[in-house]
Amino acid sequence: MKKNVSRKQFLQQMALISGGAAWGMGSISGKAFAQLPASMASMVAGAEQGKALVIIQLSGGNDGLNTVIPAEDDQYFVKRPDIGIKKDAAIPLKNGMYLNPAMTAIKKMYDQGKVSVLQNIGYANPNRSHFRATDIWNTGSDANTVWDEGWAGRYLSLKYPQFPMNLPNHPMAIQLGSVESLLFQSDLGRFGTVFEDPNLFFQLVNGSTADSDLPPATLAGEELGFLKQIATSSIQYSKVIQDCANKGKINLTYPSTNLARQLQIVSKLISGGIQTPIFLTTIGGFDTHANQLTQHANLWKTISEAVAAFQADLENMNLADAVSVVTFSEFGRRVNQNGTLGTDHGTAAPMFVIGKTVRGGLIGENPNLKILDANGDLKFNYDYRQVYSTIIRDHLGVDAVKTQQIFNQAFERLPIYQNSPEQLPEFTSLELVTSVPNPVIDFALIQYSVFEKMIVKLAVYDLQGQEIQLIYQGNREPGSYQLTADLARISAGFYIISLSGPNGQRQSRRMIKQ
Amino acid sequence: MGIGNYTETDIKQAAKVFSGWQVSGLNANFVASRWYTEANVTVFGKTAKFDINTLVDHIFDQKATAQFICRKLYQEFVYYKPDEVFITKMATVFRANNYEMKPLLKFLFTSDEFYKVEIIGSKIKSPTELLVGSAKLLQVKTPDLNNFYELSRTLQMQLFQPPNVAGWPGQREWISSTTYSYRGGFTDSLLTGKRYNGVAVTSKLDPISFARSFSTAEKANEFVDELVGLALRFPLSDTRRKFLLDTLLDGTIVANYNTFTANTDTRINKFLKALMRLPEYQLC
Repeated sequence: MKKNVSRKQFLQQMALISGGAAWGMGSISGKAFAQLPASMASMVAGAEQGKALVIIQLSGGNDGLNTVIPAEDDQYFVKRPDIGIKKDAAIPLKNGMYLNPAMTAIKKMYDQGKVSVLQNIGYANPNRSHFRATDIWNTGSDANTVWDEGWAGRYLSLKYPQFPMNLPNHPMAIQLGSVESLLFQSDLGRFGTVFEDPNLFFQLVNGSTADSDLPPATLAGEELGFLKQIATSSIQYSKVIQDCANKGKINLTYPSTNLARQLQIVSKLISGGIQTPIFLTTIGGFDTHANQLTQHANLWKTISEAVAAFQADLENMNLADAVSVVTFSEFGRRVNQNGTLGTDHGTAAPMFVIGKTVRGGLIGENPNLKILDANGDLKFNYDYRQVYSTIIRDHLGVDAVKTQQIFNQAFERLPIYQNSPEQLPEFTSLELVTSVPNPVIDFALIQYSVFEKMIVKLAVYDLQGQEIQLIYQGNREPGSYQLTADLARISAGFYIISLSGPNGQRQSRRMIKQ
Repeated sequence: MGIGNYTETDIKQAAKVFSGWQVSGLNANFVASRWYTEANVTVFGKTAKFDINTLVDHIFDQKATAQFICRKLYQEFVYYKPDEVFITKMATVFRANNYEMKPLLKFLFTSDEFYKVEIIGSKIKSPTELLVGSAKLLQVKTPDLNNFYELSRTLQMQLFQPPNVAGWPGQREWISSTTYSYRGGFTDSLLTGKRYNGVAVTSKLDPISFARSFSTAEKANEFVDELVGLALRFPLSDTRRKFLLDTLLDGTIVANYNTFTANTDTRINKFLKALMRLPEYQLC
């Protein structure tokens, strides 16, 4: 019988059923969207107020070796006889590395200590598909794990534990463009507000409606719930965005490129008081399979000039301490040039972190063009999630335990920011993150991270080095840990709290007992 | 065949079989001297001196091939999250019919799966479905094709120009806060005769004659029901239906509503705008 029923008739049946108990409003208890897991509801937002991260996505796979160039390495010219950039033409950095000649604006900021250049960033078993590799970078997964939540989505779900029941007053994430990136998606919903122009966005949203009626508990109802969430956040945020954009100042002229326009909007919104922690901007055209020299140089000229204008703008407004820019691309390109004066999909590549609060300089070893992977491509030195973990902790101010939750794994930080650990990670394998409160009265909350399996010892010492109280000793798998120590018995005074490993690794912090 | 069903080595080996084929205008020419010289190649575990026909047959012999095509059809016509059990049934039909589409589609469209109540209205309209569907709903005689073309690009579906070789991912990927809002801007333009940026379009609805093309035009309740039935596949809740009725009445009462009263054109326009601005309108 069913086979002769039209969709419309089915619809009428649905409408009848909807009125009854089976699908009716009363039968579902109050929660329109996915419930917050209990573990997350108890978490407190960790980010410092007012910090913002601006991500520039380089779509297509940026050729790292022609961006930060090993122009003193003979191998580079052996592998790239026609498209290698000679050192006389390039801009010298240090250690035999050079910038693409088009990057003068970035070099100027580099000389002022505002650019951290991170070399050979990648991950194990790299994927060369644009789609899959982009997903990996956006979700923060391993090569062989498929996640459907963006790392920023997970960060935002920690920062805004009420989402999607309650939306904060300001957008949680902003993307300049059209199609929402996986970066801002999560199982709880979409965190991003996506638009091209603040005033146009407000105008377009005007007239949309979204009700708080519960969608029916069907598969179709899930899709309606999704649409309602987008509608609700668009309505809620289009006004704030327009207001902030109108309040924001225009201080200087930006280059007339699309990326510069995107960054100018971000700057206006920030100066207009928007409290959004993450912005995503995009520049395409990096899939340089053929005749890449001019095209690639133009792309980096665009980025350099746009970011330099953005940075100068923020500095003029005294907002530069709060903002950090990071670039990423789904992969670098192959070491060897191809047959059409271009390069094909490759592996590791450099990333740039730019801002007033970075340590600045060239971080990590130069790309090794002799010891390559099985396909003849670059091996990565640092995992891309080390970069993200550093940004999340040292710029966005999230603690070690929550940062580990975002990636389901602890990653050692890189010396990107002034407040990042100074040394490159191979020298540390444990980290004493915090002990609060300090001064302590009775209980102290202690966080620490272990980066390889080892026996750790956490103890309180007096200033003479005498052990006063053992807090923990035992085997630890890699990860971040948190414990509460009862220090009530210790008498008032100055102490050292110290985390140590079996081979002399040690990190200590001063502690005052009241 | 879908990622995971072939390896990079399979691709490299299969590419050799296609060596020697050149495109010349609309013709494909085979230059035998450029054909691969190896004694044989191994693709999907089978080693042979494949030529173009035997290789294509070999690809279609793989179960994953039928599964892949059936999964796309299922996602387009049934529900965007694939049900692998049912897709396997489809693939069996497809292979049994030597990859003929008609028996497969007949199997799909007469299956219980296709008529499952809970998936009806679960599809988010593609931009083309929205543009063409809205024009048909409002019986637009002279659609502004430039407006349609530009909107299709803005809404991320320029026909014959998918974003990359993977095609349009569809469903929720059509929707962001900006494309959702542009969709509303588009449906508004059919009513106001102006684009979101104020530029006039070639068609503007005449709300009174549109309403009178329905036999229910003079009865507010019935008119709302008829338009809702035409415009929405998703079952509308009572509160939303009441909201639409209130928008149409715009302060008057059902008994006093008719298309001969002053300002009814504005009322109908407001009603249609609200109807097409409902999140439910994006589902089909």
